[in-house]
Amino acid sequence: MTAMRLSAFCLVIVALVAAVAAVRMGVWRSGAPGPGLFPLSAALLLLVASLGVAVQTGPEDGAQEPVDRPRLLRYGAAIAVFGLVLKPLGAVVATVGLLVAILRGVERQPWAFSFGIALTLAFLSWAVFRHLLGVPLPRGILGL
Amino acid sequence: MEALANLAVGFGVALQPSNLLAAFAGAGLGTAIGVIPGLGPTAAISLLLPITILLDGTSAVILLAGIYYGSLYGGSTASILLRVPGEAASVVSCFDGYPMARQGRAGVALGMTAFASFIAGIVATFGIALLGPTFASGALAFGPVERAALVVFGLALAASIGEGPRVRAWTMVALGLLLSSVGADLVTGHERYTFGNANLRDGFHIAVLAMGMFGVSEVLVLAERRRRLDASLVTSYRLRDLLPTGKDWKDSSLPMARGTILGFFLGLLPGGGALIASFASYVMEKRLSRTPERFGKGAIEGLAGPESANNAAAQASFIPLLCLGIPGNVVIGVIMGALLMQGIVPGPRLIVDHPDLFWGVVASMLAANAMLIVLNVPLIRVFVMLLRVPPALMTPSILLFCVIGAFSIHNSAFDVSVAIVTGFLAYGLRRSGFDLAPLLLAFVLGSMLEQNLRQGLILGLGSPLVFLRSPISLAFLSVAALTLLVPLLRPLLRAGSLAAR
Repeated sequence: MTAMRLSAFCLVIVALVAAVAAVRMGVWRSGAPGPGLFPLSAALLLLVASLGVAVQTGPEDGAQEPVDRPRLLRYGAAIAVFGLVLKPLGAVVATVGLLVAILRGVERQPWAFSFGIALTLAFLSWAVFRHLLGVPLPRGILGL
Repeated sequence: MEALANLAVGFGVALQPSNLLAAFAGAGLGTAIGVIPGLGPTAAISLLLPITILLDGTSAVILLAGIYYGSLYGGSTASILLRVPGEAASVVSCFDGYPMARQGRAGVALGMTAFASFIAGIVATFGIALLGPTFASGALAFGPVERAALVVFGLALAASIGEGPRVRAWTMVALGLLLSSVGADLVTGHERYTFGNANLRDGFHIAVLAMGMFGVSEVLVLAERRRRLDASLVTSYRLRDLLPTGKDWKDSSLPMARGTILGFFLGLLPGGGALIASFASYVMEKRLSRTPERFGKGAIEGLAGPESANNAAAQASFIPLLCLGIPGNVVIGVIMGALLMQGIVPGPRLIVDHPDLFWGVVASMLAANAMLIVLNVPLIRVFVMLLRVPPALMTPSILLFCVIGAFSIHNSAFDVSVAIVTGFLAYGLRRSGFDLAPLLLAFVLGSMLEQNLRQGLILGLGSPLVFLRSPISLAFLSVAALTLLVPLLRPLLRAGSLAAR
């Protein structure tokens, strides 16, 4: 099965689940549109269109160039872990961790360079967002 | 002539040192805020509201308006250089601005953004002076029925901006509409697709989705293989060599003119504004182009039109506020708050009771746009040099930019998760051959459509025929139907004519 068809079938499932949920919300109440009318319409449109994509025959225009999968997976894992630890560890620690993981672990930069860049960017973003713009970035374990 | 005389009076007000300083500070602050993803003009203006109480009413509005225009320009800079929209209205700049930067034409893209915004700003200022108050009343003819039909027309066009077969674009439009319905229903309060998560009660924020769809997914695309910096793309870093060439100007002049006119009229409509105007201009340019396949791959027309449109719309959206007391969008709503804090009630009496404020604000639009050029054109060289940062360093920096930007919108780690998850899903869709532009446009239009559709149906006592009774609505729906049917019928007509031969 091609990536396009697989995505289309996933969207068909999303549309079916969304349509059932929309019907349960109430499509029409007391002579007026209910909260489910618009989501139901959107879900039905998604269902029809994604079925159209699934049955469509044509050239795949995604995935043309070769992909370094281990590299991509390492990047993906670093991003996902960053999202999970941002709040408990705090913005500064999570940022340093993310940048060291990518620069050293994926991009194979020297340790000193990776740490230097990570600390600089983490400090700069912390200073600009937290102090200049007043964004309360998560403090985490360091309380920064 | 009376309008021009009034505008001259306005220039007298706008060119006072305090108001010039306010325009300069607003344009500068707005540019800086626009470049940083997340903290958009609404948040920045809200933060500065207490300060405006120290200024007189005219200076306060000039300062806040300057922030609005500046943030639009700054947002485009981040879109062009990093594919991270600095703020929502700059999403469209990613489509062709970023490919231009990847082709070594970042300077041309940034220059065209500045000049297109400036030219649109000048035209819009005179448009506002000559036509604004009259057309603002005309915009009242657009009730929920007409607005719903206009959005349906917009959706029909949205499907045409995507790459690949039309059915894929419609899939993305449908997904965008579905995503727009997440959150508490505005009429009944019923929670829709929130799964009991309080963070989803207000739905998704457009900027968070845009950062995920464009920023995070681009990081994943860049991570697919090791890349080296291609230093041969930009051969000279002299400002003269970086700016648009004669051919660029020739290609951009008509899109700029169309974008300015479209943006101006969309800006007058309640619910319109810079974001819708930029999308509408992009759709229009792609439809009108003889080579639509270049769009999304670095077509300068796809940048010049929307940039003109968003600036013209941003300026025109002041007219419903100042003339009718109706804020057309959230940013203008916050600026209305600043006026109310000064004891000035915007509405039909404003132009009579406070002519200095009205005409001063209109004239200051020109001053603010001139300052944006003065501030930003010299910076183009600096911005282009940023692209010399090696990809190994640039890719994680873009990610960091996206993540902190997403957090700063609501100060919420949940938004960071949304941006990351959206980024992964968007990457999967991109690799499968789906284009995300129609999805985002449908998301923007979705809440507008639902609100107006429901109000229209209530007005029509539940009958959908109400949408066919209004001539304006009927016209929009007819054109939307034609937009849908013509591509479907074209092969049949072609086959019929071949059979006849």
